Amino acid sequence: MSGFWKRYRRNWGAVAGLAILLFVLLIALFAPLLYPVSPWQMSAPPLLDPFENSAFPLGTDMLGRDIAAGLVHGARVSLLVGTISTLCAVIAGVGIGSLAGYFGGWIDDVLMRITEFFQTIPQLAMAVVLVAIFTPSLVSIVTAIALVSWPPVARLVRAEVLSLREREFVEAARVLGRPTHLILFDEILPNALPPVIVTATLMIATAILTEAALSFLGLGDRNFMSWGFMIGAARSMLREAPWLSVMPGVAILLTVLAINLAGEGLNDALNPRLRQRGE
Amino acid sequence: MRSTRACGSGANSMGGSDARGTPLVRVENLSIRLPVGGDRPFAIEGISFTVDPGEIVCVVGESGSGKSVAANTLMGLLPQGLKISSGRVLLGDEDLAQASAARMRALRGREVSMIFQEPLSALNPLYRVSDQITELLGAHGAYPGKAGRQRILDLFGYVGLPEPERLIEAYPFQLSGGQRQRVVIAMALALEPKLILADEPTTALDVTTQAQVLDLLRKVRKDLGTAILFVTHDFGVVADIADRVLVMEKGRLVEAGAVEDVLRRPQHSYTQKLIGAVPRLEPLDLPPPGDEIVLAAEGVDKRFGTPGGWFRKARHVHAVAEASFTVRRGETLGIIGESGSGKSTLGRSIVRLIEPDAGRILFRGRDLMTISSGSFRSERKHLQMVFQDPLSSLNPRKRVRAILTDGPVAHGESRAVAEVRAAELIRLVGLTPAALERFPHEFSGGQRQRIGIARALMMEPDVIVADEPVSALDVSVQAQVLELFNELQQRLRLAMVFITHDLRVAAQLCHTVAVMQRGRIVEYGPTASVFADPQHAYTRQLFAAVPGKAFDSWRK
Amino acid sequence: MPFVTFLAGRIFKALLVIVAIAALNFLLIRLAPGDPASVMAGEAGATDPKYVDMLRARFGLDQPLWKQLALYLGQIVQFDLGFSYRNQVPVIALIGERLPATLLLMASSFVVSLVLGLGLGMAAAGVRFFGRARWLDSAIMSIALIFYATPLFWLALMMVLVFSVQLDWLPAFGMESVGANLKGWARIVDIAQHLVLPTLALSLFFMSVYVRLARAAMMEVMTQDHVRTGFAKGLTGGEVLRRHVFRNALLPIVTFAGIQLGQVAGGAVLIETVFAWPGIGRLMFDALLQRDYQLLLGVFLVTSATVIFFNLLTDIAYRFVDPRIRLEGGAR
Repeated sequence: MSGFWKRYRRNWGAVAGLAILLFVLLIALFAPLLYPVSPWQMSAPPLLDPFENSAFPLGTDMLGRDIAAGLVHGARVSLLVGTISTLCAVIAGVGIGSLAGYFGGWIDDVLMRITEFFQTIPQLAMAVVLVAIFTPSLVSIVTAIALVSWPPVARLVRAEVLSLREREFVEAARVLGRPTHLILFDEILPNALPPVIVTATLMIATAILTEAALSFLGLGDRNFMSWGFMIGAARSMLREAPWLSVMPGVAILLTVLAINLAGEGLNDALNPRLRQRGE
Repeated sequence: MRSTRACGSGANSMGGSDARGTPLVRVENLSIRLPVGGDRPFAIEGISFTVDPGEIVCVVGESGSGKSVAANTLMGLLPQGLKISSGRVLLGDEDLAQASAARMRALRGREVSMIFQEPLSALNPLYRVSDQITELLGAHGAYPGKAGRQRILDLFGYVGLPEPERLIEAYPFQLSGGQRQRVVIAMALALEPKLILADEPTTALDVTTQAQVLDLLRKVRKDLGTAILFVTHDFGVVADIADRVLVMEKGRLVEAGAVEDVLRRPQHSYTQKLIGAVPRLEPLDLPPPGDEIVLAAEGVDKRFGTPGGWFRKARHVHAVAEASFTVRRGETLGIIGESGSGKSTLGRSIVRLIEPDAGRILFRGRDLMTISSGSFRSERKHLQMVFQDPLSSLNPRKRVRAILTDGPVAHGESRAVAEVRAAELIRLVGLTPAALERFPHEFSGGQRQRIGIARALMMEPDVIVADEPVSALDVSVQAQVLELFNELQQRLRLAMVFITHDLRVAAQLCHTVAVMQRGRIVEYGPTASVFADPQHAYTRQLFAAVPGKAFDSWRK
Repeated sequence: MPFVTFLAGRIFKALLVIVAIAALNFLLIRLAPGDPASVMAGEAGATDPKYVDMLRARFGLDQPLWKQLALYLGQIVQFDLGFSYRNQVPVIALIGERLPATLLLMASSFVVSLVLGLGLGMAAAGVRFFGRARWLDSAIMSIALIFYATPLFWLALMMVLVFSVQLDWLPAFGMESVGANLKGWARIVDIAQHLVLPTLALSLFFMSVYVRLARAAMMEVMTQDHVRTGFAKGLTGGEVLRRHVFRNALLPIVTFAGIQLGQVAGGAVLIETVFAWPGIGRLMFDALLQRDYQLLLGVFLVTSATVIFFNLLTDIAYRFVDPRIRLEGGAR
């Protein structure tokens, strides 16, 4: 573990990313303490400029809602949707990919055709259709994002399993008479995991972007304030109050950037050989 | 296998050599520093040698000895991070260590050219082979226009490629390994360089192809007077082709001299050790096997094919054709063949990593093909395998303790009991019990192979199938592992099926041998009689191709 | 494998995927909570029972499920994507009218992002290759990372803010100047001006994808042996880079570019929404607002079909770039 951290630390971008990420995470965790009042509440005069009123440090929107409260609560939705949908996608992808890779034959054929199918469909368009038809809610959003983002994981895991399956240590396990489920879960998958972890990290970032896009299009869960919604709502005020759009956008950019940086650091730390070759 | 006829006028025009007397290459006190953090400070440390015009000099050493770096220096193609720290590299009167980049480019391909180890990856897969040679001619402004095509046809004829007119249109993937290496050699010869650097040029080739390529290189030297610096790890090859030998160990030149002197009377202890470790071609006297037949294969047959789909045709390869043999207790059967002969498929069929299409595999009298999967599991326990690649045959994420005990535990043994035996066996294969706590990457290749053997022994097997278990090892380590196999067999009375491409290795531990060609066993009999008097034409061809027979006679 | 067989196989496969997407559409309608007809009618249905009845007939809701599916697929095959109640026109007519605008946007963005991405990716890998000016590599990769992390729609808004609102350089909305009624060249220039911002906004994200991809692919090829052969021939670094690194790295890039097209199409929905670009993405957004689900599903199907068509083209392109596939036909 200490070797892992040492390698991670070498990439200063990754360390910065991790710091930003922790900051966003803390804000998300303590949102109800920081801003106990609902971010939807119209609590002040509309369109207060930022940095002028200490009670509303980032100003208010056209309905007098506190921008700072919105940003803080929006962090929760972004991280929540990002991680849960990625978790679902990874579980599905690992399952499908490892089955296809290990068993091969018609199982592989069928599963990979399905994977290709889902990969061909324009992901965002499909997410839009899914959320629209099943009515926007956190559950439908998470489901839709997971449903459009598992294919790359499945392909990655399948490729890893395919190459690991041919390795001699797996053949050795078969000759030793280890049962199939142990060969898959104890011999193959632990070796396939590092690249999956890296991919999963980057998928969280993409999922956050997708969630923001959905909310921007008006497909967010109306019970939760989200960054994408804030941008969408402020769109019509772009001329009069550009900061309303700028601030949530910067929040998304920073969070997604931080996750990407952390993901790269993770990649360097988990796959030291690849890094050496890349250097 | 020579194709001297094909050279015609093209070959004659290739003649002409330098005046003898002064060396072509003089390397003086050359040192190349490794990047900080390596396992030693220098890749190459203070080496000096010369190569005369028309001379073949072999650089021999084990992996990591710096032998390839020495050759690459003459090309000015050092891997990133390596720099000449002192010394001179003279080609004629010119110091390459001081030459400008433009000057080095002008020399590469024209004065000095290179033949690589992997002919497939050395060629760009996306271009026709002729275009890749045309590119070389173009870079030096030689043979413009139509002359280029004629030159390539001449070269192809000279290196013995069949149907040059057709092959000139081919892409690398359409050629066999030997043909690709001929293309690479043709490319190296295109501008008649004074010096060819050959970096393990036959290591990736089968033994019969290797013999042909060595013949070709000798012919090149004779016809064109080209000097060849030949990097290899194989003393048999050295004996066959070298005029002089340089022996390298850990970046230092430990011995140099005429080939016969060095091979007959090695002075340095390292050279002595290396030469002593090369297995002899004559069969060893082995303790006789018992009478009980433990393993028998009858008519084992396996075809591979890609099934046809809606839009593609089915393809089939007959990997193993009706192979039959028997192995008795305490006996080692060697299965010998070149790549693609089906020897590995046969080995994997025995332990049923591959399901044969037909035939019977009788293990202790029971047919493994027909018994229920439950009783197969308990039978297979006593039928184990040792693999080729010591790196990939051990799970990198497991400690040796788990690697050794997982098998017995899968058969219901308690972890504690298995661990006691693991500690015993790890000693038996020549490691200390401390090894149990470590991960595979902490061991050397030979040590990993020992762990692989211990893993098989944990199952208390009656039969071990070993698939090229020493081919990835350096020669000195190879000798130790072979010794371990012999020792274990005598102690445990194992029956072994030993798959190898190397007749020398087979001579060291096989009682009987089966020679395979294109899926068939073409010759099968006691090692002594097959080696003394091979019957099948292919077997004779194999024996004829074994490098270093002169070396064997010197050692007597 | 002969080209005709290959082409027939690929076209068949593409059609199969389109049918599968239609089936998926059907499945979605059936899985949605509530009576399919009223789901499809959205809010519109509440006011017009006749429309709901029409939908019932369309989906054959009184028949067994497999017949409903067959009925639906049969309609799709005849290019009948349903009727937009809001607009009082068949869905296919609406889409047909809007499709050219989207194709124009997608094509221009694809070209711009690919050219920028390949150029910068090559530059980044190139400076690594020569071991010089590493800062350029870092700079390019940082730019790529930032655009990769920027929400598309927000980037679009910021461009409107800067280039239209603040600087007033370029038009921010629509595809043509309203009421100008331009003809010939003047019209082309007008459209081109309107195209700049949407194209840039959509391209910058995909540019960053291609930069990373091109650089990674080239770095991978650089480690291969044939690159060393190139040097051994006496070629210059530039020649080796161009002929033996870039050419070989092009293969994975072409493949990936095909896969990426689906995302370009998705991104177009957002970009068209922001810039009021009169394409099918904007149509999709309108359908969302109006809960016109027939239209929504229609757009989804056509978008997917477009992507599949372009994928087909990349497959064919790939065949021409790689001799191994052209001559052997196998190895996928």
